[in-house]
Amino acid sequence: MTTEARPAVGVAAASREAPADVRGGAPLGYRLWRVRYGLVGAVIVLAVLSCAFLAPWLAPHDPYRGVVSQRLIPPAWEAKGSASNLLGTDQVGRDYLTRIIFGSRVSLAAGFLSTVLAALIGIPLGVTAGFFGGKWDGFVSFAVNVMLAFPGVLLALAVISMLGPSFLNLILVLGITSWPLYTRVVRTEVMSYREQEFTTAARGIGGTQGRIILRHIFPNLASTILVVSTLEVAHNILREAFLSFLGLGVQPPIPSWGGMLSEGRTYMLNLWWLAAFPGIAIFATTLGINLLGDSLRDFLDPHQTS
Amino acid sequence: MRAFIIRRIGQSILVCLGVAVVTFLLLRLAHDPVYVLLPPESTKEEIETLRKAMGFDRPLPVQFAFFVGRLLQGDFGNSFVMAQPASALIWERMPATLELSFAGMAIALAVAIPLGVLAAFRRNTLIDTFCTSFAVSGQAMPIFWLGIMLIIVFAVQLKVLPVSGSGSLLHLVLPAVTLALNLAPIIMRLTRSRMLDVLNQDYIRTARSKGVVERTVLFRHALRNAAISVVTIIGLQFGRLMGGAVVTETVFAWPGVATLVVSSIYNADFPVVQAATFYLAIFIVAANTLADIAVAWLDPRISRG
Repeated sequence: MTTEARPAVGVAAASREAPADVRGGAPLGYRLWRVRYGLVGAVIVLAVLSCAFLAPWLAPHDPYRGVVSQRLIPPAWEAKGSASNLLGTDQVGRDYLTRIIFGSRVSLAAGFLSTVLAALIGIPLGVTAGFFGGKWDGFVSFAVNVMLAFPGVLLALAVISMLGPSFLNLILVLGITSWPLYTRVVRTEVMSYREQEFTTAARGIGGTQGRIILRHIFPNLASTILVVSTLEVAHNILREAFLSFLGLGVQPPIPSWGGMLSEGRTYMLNLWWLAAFPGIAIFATTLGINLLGDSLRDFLDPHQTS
Repeated sequence: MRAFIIRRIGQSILVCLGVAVVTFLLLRLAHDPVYVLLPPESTKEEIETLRKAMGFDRPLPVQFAFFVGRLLQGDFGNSFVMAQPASALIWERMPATLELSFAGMAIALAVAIPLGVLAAFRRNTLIDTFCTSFAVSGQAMPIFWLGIMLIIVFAVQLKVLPVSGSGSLLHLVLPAVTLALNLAPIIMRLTRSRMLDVLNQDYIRTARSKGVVERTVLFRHALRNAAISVVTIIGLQFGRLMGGAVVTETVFAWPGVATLVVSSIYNADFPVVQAATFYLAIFIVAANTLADIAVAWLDPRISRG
């Protein structure tokens, strides 16, 4: 594949090699973007992780104690803002910045744990379906198709309405509604490995099926699983935020971005920042994770650059 | 082609059956479904009567057979709150949801496909960077937050559009745009990558080497083939569309199925939740099937296997 520029119309024939993007031809802005976006993602993710782990030390105030006389203070840069509450306070006088910092804990924990659960369900199904094929594969693919027929968030809503809202149920629900993606991706990949030389060779020297799966096929899946997991964490953070926004996730007074957004929405007529800040936190976090995931994909799988 | 259609419809019917199983099991997730189905203040007799009437005292397979039987008649029981059949309530709300979904999808396609084609055509340029950044940030955007921000800007500050509700075309603008902004990024990225695949094909190189004008290469040769993938994309995004509509409706108090579901969840009105889940899923299955058949019709290689 040549990177042949056609100056008359300015079309470069698409090259399949990722480094070509970075090397030359493309304008500086584009090249910088290609190189930096993974780094930007990593920095954001690191920042959010530090917020979650170091919340008690980073946050300037107590996330639960409100001061009645200091309710609904605007952010520091507004006329009536104060320097001790950089992002202002909420309707019970709690420091908004503190609540946002603590809110990262719920988002990350929910996103991470539900993705782990989804992986634990989805990966074994995908591996066995792809490896053994036949009726089992038929059944697993059928189950995936059925799950994908439900509009994602609606199934989660329906299940949580049965189980009742709590943090544990939130993770259960997000986990059991998001495994099909793992299964689908892993299955296709295992099917392609099943007939390759290294599998045949392992079979030839007398490897058992369990050994072939665990020692020969599974390590090859690592990069795919890593990439899918990153993107799924971001996806589950968004869904957690929505469920908490509806009051079906983490319950107050525990600070969660979705919950804060829902409370802030009540004041959107004149105090827009109450709804804006938690959303920016959710947006930045998912953006960071997605950027990291995209660059991981480019880095680990050079065939799939698009 | 006919064999393909029959096979594809057969598969869809099976998936619908699977959807029925999940909807059925949903109710069994609760410790005892009777307590979910009855309002909390019910008496012991009421509970026992319902248990018998619903057949909860029988083995699960028998219960499932009854469930499917009622399902085929569109009977999900009565709503507790509205004292009306749950199905009727859903169908009453369905047109609003469809209106929003189609408007959102139309805007999303109108924005995303040209941008995707443009990004692929001008690959590695600032235009491409701009389109891709738009898609990447769109995908990370919580759609309900986006909706609220649009309300704050256009309805509260600028006062050019209504805050929420429905009734006029103006009411449709903000929800439809919100939904479209949720769908557009993925459609744009897929269009771009399919378009790049097509532009890499040998016949495009052949056309170029014959000296065909670049514009003709793009519109006559590349876009037509990429169009097939775009139809697939639309079909596959239907689930996402419905999911997005659920979120958008709740933000804008749009009187569709989702607003009903959310209020039913708050009221523990389970027949309505169950019916809505089932119908929307069937809807998505039907849309996917239609898209598959349309693609097979556009691209004869598929139905011939």
